[in-house]
Amino acid sequence: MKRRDWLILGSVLAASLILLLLRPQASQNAGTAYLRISVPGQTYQLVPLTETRDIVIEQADGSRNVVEIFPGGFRMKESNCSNQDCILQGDVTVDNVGSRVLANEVICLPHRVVLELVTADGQPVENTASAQTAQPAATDDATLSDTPENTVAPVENTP
Amino acid sequence: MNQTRKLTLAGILVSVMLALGYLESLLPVSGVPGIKLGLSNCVLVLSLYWLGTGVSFEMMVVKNVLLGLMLANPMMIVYSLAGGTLSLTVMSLLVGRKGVSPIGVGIAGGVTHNIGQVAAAMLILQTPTLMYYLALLMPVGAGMGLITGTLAKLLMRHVPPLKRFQSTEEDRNTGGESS
Repeated sequence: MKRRDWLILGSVLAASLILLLLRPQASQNAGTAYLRISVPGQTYQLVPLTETRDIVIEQADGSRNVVEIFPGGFRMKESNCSNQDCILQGDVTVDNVGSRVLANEVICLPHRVVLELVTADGQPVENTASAQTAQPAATDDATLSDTPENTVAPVENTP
Repeated sequence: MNQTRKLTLAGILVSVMLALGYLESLLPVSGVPGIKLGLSNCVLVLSLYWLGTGVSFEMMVVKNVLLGLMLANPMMIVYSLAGGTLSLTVMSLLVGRKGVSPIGVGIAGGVTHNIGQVAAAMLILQTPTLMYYLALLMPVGAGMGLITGTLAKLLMRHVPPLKRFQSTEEDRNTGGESS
């Protein structure tokens, strides 16, 4: 290690420390938690996390993800993607968003699917993002054959 | 080193990167996108020193496209190309600088690879909060870069192909003259 090698290493560690400090702290949100599903070309209703059921997300290119929701949280249950990272990202619950690496999100990079734990007004439970408004009404993309209404249909229902 | 030798070495190094990429895909994954050893970064550090910037860029593109088609899906190629381009750009600026060893080049490469990937993901997925994810990914990238950079440094010390190629050329020339 030469002198400027240490300089590079030091500045990297300093930058990540700054990011860590800037990272917003989890806010204690009362009330029901919701799941926001983001899929390219589709808009989903916020899903209240009050029951246990599966949500199937299908895209025109054959991508298929299954999200399991349960009271207070969710997880990616199945995905036919190449790396299965989204499944390994595990549960997101109101209690663990502060300690998760990806905070309130589960991301399936190959399928461009993002799951977020949000409050009723669409704010991330970790209270990170700017004033992003949720879209309470489902608007389906005309180019897609499968409408959100179809894809959000519960596969199994265990009240 | 003449063009044929350069091309041959570049081809060999690309196939080494593909083999290493396949090997890495067999290792258990963490579930956190972006955390991997990145052994092909080691090969790219070597090629920057041995073959120069232009050839290294070509090798990076060929490797990422081929490995993406072999193991992942087309979407993942976009992320790895974003990471690879930023990483190689920064590394090529550092190679040969005074006071910077291959270890520093490796660290910078590992970190900027992660930055490029996260930037691509932020744009494609429209999730700006991913930026904070770099607080974890940057030290990880630095650690992996430290490993791959050290490997590259050791390899350069013990396998110097430029000198070896040159010396065989000289050997053949002098051998031809003396006999």
